[in-house]
Amino acid sequence: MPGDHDQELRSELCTLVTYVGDTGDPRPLRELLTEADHDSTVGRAVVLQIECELEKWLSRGRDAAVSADVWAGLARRAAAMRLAPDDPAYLTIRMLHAQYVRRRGRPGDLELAVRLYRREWELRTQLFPADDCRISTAHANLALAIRERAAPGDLERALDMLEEETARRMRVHGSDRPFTWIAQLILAQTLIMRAEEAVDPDEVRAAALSAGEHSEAVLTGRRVRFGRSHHATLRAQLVHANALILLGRCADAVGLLGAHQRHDPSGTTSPGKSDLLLARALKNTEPLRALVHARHAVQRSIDPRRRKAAEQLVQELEVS
Amino acid sequence: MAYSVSRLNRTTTAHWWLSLEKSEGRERIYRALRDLLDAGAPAYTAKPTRPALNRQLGITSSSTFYHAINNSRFKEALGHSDFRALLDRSDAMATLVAEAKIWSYADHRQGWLNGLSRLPGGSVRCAVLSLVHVLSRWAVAEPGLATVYGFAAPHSAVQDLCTVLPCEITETRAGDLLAKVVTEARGPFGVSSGAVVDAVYDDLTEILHAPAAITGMVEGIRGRLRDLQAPLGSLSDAELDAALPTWVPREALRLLTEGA
Repeated sequence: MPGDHDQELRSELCTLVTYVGDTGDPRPLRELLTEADHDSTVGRAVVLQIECELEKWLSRGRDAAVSADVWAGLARRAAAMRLAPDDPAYLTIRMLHAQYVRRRGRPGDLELAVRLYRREWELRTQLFPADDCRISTAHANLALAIRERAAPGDLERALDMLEEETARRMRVHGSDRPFTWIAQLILAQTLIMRAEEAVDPDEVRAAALSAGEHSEAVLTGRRVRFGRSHHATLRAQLVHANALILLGRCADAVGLLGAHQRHDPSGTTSPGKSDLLLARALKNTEPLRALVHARHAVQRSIDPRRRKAAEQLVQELEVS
Repeated sequence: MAYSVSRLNRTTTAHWWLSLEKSEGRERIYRALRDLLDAGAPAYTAKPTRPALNRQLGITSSSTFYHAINNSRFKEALGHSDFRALLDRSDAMATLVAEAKIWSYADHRQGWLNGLSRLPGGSVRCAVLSLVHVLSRWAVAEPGLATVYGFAAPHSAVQDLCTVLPCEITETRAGDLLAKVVTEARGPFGVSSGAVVDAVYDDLTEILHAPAAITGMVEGIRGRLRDLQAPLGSLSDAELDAALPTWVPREALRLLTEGA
C-alpha cells in the first residue's frame, strides 16, 4: 500500500542485492544499512534483512571465525525477534552460520557443521514442498559439510548426495540453469578430490575426466550467462583449471589461470587458490615461477588447510 | 540514450500517479478490489464485476465507482497508445483493475527507483534484472491483483522496462515479457528469484543482444569515453599503466577514446 516504508525498503534492498550479485560491490548495501539503522521508523526485521544481505558479502573476504560469530549473533537477534523459521532472513542466517562454522576450522567444527546443516535440511523438508529450491540448497550444503568432515566414507557419501542433487536439479530446472550449475560445480570439485585421493591410475583418470566434463559445462554456461569477469564464472574457472591439471593439461590450466588472475588480481574469488593451482601447474616445467606463486598462495590463503598445502609446496620447491 | 531515474519519472503512468489525488475514497475502492480478488485467488478466472465490488464496498449504487473512474483520468493520461486502445475496447472495470495494479505496485516501484538512484554505473542489465526481481516480489505479495487479467504486470512496470532498455520495444512486447515474469512468480518456483529470471532469460537475451540494443549501449558509454580523451592524452604510457586496472588494455582504451 502506498506509504508503506518497509515495503519500499525491501524493494530497494532487492534492487541493491541484484547489483551486488552482479558486481560483488557491497558499498550501496552498506549505505542503505547505515541509513535504515538510524531511522527509527524502519521495522527492525527489515534492518536485519539488510544486514544479512550485507554480511553475506562481507563474510567472503573475512576470517571465518569472525564471520561465524557475526552469524551466531544475527541468529540470536532473529530468535529474539521471534521470526518465523521460514522467514527469508532467518533461513539465510541459519545457513550461513553453519557455513562459517564449517570454514572456521577449530577442533570439532566440522562435526558441528554437519549437525547444523542436517538439522537445517530436515527442518526445511518439513517447511517446504518436495523439490523446493530451499531444500535443495540445504541438501547440497550438507553434502559439502560431510565432504569437509572427511571422516572415513565421507567422500563417497558426499559424492552420492551430490550426484543425486545434480540429477534432481537437471530434472527440475534443466541443465542450462544457474541453480543446476551450483550443485554441478560442487560435484566437480568433489570428483577432483576423489581423483586426488585415489591410488589406482584408472580411478584417478575416470574421476578427473568426469570432473572435467562437469566443470567445463559449468564454466561454458556461466561465461555465456554471466560474462567472463563475473565472480561465479571466476569460481568455475578455478575448478576447471584444477581438473585440467589432473588430466595433465597443464598448459591449458596455466592459460586459464592467467586469464583468471587478470580479472581477479587480488584473489577475492578464493584467496590463494589461483596461485596454488599455478604453482602446481608449473611445478615440473617452470619451478622458479612455481615457487613465486606458491609463496603468494601462502601469503594470501585464509583457509588454514590451503595455507598448509601451499607451505608444503614451497618446501618441496625450495628443496629442488 | 542511457536510462536515468528522471526519465523513469516522466512515463505517462508515473506522471499520472504523481498527479493523482490519493483520497481515502479511492484507497477504499482499490483496497476493496484487492480483497475481492484475493478471496478468489489463486485462480480468479472470472473478471471482477461491479456488483461484486459494490458488495465488497458495502454499497448498492455504482455511482461511487463511476465517479472514481472518471475522476482519475487514467486513460486520458495514457494518451495515444496500444494500452489506451485496449482499455477503450474493454469495460470500466478493466480500467479500475489497471489502476489498482499500479497502486499496489507503487511502493515496490519507489523502492526500485531509490535503489537505482543509489547505484553507480547505470548498468542496463542491472536495471532490467532488478526490475524483474522487484516485480516478482509484487506478484508474490499480491495473489489477486497479480493473477487477474492474464497475469498482466502493472502498466508502470511495463513502461519502466521500455524506458531502461537501450533500444525501442513496443509496450505490448514489454507487457508480454513481464506477464511471463508475473506468471512464473505466481507459480511453484516463484520464491526463487533465479527461477523467475530463467523463465524470461531467453526473451531478455533476444532483446539485449540484438544489434539495436548493442548500438544503444555503446552510445551510452560515448560520453564517458569522451571525458577520458583529454586526461588520457596528458599521460605517458607508463603513467597510464600505473593508473589503469589490470583488466584494461591500454592501447585499446586509447583507440576507443580517440574515436569517440
